[in-house]
Amino acid sequence: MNSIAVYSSKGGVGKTAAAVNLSYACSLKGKKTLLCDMDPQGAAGFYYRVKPKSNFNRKKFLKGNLRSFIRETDYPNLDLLPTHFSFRNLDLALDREGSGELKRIFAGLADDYDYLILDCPPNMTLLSENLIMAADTVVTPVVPSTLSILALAQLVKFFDKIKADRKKLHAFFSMVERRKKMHMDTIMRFGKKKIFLQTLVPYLADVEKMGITRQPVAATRPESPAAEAYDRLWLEIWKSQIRK
Amino acid sequence: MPRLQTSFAFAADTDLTQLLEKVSVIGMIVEQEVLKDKFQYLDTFDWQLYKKGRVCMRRGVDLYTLSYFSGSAVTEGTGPETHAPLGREFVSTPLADDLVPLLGIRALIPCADIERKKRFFHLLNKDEKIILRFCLELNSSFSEGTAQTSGGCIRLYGLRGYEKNFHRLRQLLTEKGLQEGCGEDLLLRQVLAGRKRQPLDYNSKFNIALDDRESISEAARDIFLLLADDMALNIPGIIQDWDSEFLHDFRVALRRSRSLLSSLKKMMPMNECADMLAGLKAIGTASGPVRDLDVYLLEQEAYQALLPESLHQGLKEFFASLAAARDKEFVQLTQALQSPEYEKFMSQWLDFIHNRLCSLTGTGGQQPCRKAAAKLIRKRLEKILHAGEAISGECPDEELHKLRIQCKKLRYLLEFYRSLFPEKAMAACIAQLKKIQDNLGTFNDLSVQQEMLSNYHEHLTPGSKKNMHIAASLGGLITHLQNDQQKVRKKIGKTYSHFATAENRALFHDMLDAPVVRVKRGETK
Repeated sequence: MNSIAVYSSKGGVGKTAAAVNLSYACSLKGKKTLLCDMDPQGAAGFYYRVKPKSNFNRKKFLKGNLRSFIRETDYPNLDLLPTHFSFRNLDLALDREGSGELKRIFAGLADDYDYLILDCPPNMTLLSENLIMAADTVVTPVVPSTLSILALAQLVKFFDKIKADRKKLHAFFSMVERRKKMHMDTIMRFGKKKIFLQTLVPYLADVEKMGITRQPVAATRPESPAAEAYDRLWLEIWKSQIRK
Repeated sequence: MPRLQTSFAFAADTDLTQLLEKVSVIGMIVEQEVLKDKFQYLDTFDWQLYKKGRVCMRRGVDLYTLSYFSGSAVTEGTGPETHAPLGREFVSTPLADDLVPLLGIRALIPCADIERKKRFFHLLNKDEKIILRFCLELNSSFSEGTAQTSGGCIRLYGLRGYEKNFHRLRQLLTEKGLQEGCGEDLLLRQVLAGRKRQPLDYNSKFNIALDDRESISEAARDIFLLLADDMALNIPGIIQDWDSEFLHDFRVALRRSRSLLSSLKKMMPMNECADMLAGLKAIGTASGPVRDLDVYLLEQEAYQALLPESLHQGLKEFFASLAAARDKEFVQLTQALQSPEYEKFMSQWLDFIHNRLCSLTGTGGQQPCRKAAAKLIRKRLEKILHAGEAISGECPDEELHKLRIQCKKLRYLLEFYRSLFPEKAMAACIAQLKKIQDNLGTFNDLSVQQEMLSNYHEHLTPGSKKNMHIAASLGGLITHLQNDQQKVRKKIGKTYSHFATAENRALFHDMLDAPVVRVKRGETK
C-alpha cells in the first residue's frame, strides 16, 4: 500500500478538492483506494456524502480498528474513512504515542488497499508531523502567491526539523488563475524548481460546484478541464512514486 | 473484505411494483440502467453439467460461458457454432479443459432460449448517498416455439459501512416469503417449469422404485413402460444425430426389454410372447449396423495411438470409409424409426404392456414380485456358475461368450429389481458381477473388433495404393488387438474364480433372503 498525504498548513488552497479528486482519479485506474478524512471539518466526507458511523470517535481510531468504520463511496474501488469531530484533539493523544503512531495504525490496512490518500487538517501540529511521517508521498497545493511560497519554504524546514525525507515532498500550483499576472509570474519563477509537479490545477467553477453536486468533478463532468487537470496530477504523482 | 451479496428468487406471478414499494421503506429507489441479455442454456441430454453443479450458456452463436450454480464463471470463450456441439469441437478452445471432460462423448444440446432483462437500482439515504444496490432479473424463455415469463431473481449488493441496510432488506424479502439463494440451477428450473424437459429428467443408468406388493407381472409392466419411454425419449436425438449415445441408450433399453420379456416367457402363451420378441429383435437388427460403426468411429483416436505414424494415413482412409458406410446405414435407420411399421409395432408393444401382459402371464405372473425376482436371480446365478465350470485358460471362446451372456442377463435382473432388495448388499453384488463382466466385455469387444477388421482386410481389392495403406494399418491393428486380447484372456480365469467363491455366492443369497425394506414410489433408498 502506498500512502499519499495531501497537506498544507494553510486553509482554502484546494487541498480537500485535490484529495477528493485525486482519490477518484486513482480509483478510476483500478487501484483499490482509501481516502482518509483526517480533517475534523469533514469536507472530504461531505463531498462523498459519507457520514461517520454513530459509534465512531477518536478513541476507536487510535485503537486501530479502522475496518469497521470504513464506508464504501458510490464509486468502484473507492472507500472512505470519515473523520469525526473528536479528531480535533488527535494531537493530544498522539503526544503520548510518538510520531510513528499513525503509520502503525494505517499499516493494518496494507492488505486491503493499493493507495491510501490522507486529507490532512490545515495546521502544523503533532498530527501533521505524524501524517507526514506516515505517508510515502506528501503533496502540497500552492496557490501562486508570495505568501504561499513562503509557506512552502516553511514546510521544507518543518520536514528537516522532524527529520522527514524531503524527497517525498511534492508541490503543485493550485487555484491557478491565468489572467492574474502575479499567478503567472510566480509560476514562471518557481515552477521549474524540482519540488514542483508540472500540472497546474486551475481555479474553476466546476471545482467550486462540487459543494453542490457533492461528487468528484470527473464523476459529473469527466471531460472538463478540472477533471483532466486532476487526472494529469494523479499520473504525475504516480510516476514520481514508481520512479523512486 | 468479502462482498455482501445475496439473491432471492421470485415466481412469475410476483407483483414487482408491490415488491419495490416494500423496498422503498429502506431508502429512495432510483432506477439505473436496464440491460437485456439473450442467451441459450445448454446441457447434455443426460444433464452431465447440471449433475456436476454447472450450467452452460451460449450468447450469440459461439460465445460460451460455463458457470457454477452460484453464477460465477468457471470459464468462457468462443467455441463452435454448431447447434449441438460435441466435446471434440471444443478442443483447442479456451473451454476445452473445463468443458470437454464434463461432456465425454455427449453433445451439448440447447434446452431453452432465454431473454434476461436486468433492471439495476440504487437505494439512497437522505444525503442521496448510495446505501445499497440491487438488480431485478426477469427471465422470459422461448422453448418448443412458445414464450413464457418464468420469474426471476432480485440480487442485493451491500456496501461496506452500510451493512445494516443490506440486512434490513434481506430480512424484509425473507418475511415476504421469497426464497434466498438463487443460483443458476434454480433459474434453469424456473425457466423449464411446465416444459417438456426438466433438469435430471433423464439418466442412462436404469433406476426404478418398485413396490414389493406388486405382482411380478405388474412390476414387469412398470419396467417395460419405463424402458419404452427411454426408447421414445432417445429417438429425436438419434434422428438429429446429436451424439452416438442416443442410439446406444435406445438399444440398451431395447435389449433390457427383450431380456425381461424372455425371463417371463415361460409364464405366457408361446406365440404371443414370440411375436413381441421378434418385433423387438427386428428393431435391434435395424439399429445394429449404425451402432457397430459408431463403436469403431469412437475408437479412432485410440486406434491411432496404437499405430506408428507411418500407418496413420491408411487408418484415416479406413475410418473415412467407415464414416461413409455409417452415413448410408444412418439413412436407413432414420427411415426405419420414422416408418409406419415402427410406429405400428410400438403401439402394439405399448398395448401389450398396458393391457395384455398381466392377463397373459396367468397365475405365474400373480406371484409377489420380490419372491419371483429372487427366484429369477437365483436361477440365473446358477446358470452362470454352471457356465463358469467350463471356464479355463484353454477353453474355446464360445464358452466365454456363453458366460458373458449369462452375466449380462443377471446384471439386467439385478438392475430391474434393485429397489426390492437392500441397497448396500445389492451394490456389493453388482460390483462383484461388474468385475467379471468388464473382463468378459473387453475380451468380447477385442474379438469382435478383430473379426470385423479381418473381414474388411480380406475384402480389400488389391492393387490400389489407398487399399495398400489400409491393409498395412489394419494388419498393425489386428496384431495389437490380438496381443491385448491374450492379456485379457489370461485374467478371466482368475476373475471368474474370485466371482464364484462361496463367500460371493453367499453375498447374493443373503441379499435375496434379506427382510423386505419398503420404499415409497418416486423415492430412492
